Amino acid sequence: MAKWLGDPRGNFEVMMLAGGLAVLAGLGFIIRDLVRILPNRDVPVPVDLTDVPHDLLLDGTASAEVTEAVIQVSGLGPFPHAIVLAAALMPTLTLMVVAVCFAQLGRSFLKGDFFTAGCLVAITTAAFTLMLGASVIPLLEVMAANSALATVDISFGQPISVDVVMFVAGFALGVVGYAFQRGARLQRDTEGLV
Amino acid sequence: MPTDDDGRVHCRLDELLEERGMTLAKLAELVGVTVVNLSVLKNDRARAIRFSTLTAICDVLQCQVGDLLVVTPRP
Repeated sequence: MAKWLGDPRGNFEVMMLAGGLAVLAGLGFIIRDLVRILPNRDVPVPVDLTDVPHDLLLDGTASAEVTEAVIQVSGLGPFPHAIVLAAALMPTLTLMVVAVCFAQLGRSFLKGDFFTAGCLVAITTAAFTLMLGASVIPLLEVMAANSALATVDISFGQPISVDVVMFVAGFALGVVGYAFQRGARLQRDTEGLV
Repeated sequence: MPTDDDGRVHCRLDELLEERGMTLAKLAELVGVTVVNLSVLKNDRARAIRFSTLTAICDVLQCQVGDLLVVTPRP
């Protein structure tokens, strides 16, 4: 097991495989969301109840605080419908872009190509996608929740936040991308060095 | 950028080896550089050379840097 973990080729193959599987899973999620949302009937929309917490009685004695709920709305207007659809698809699309980038990196590493333009593009794309997704996904989710609540004539402020973990992951990947950029320059500089 | 002048440095390794009756493989062994790298240098395909490599070659061939590398005139 330890030997397998220490084998770079094995790791790159796993990276490729995981990326490919994530893309396939992403396609499945997209189809599921399209089927749920496109008909515009009983569309499930997650709503954040952090600012208006509700107590929920469990089995008559224990209680719990509800901070999230899923409301089902029908007959959304074109713009709210598009927002709800985008909010549902964006996390999966973000995951798929990052997965494609990692699969591409695994393929390049497996071939022994490390500091190539393709690797740089893959790392930079993944980093930017994660950083963009960290702010766009929560924003779309808030807009979708507000649109859904407006449809049922309810209005309360949804907290807007940034996905810090995703942003930090994107930033860290960006730093790795910068290291790759420097590595590519070093490799170029040492070409033909004897 | 000196890129236009890339390739104007000619390596006289062939001539020096011939004068000394030495093979490239032997030189590689004495210098501690791979034959592939010496071949790159000999065929003027090298774009840079480490001082350590240069010194070692000059030591083995008992020559000066100027004997090994010459700058050819601009065309």
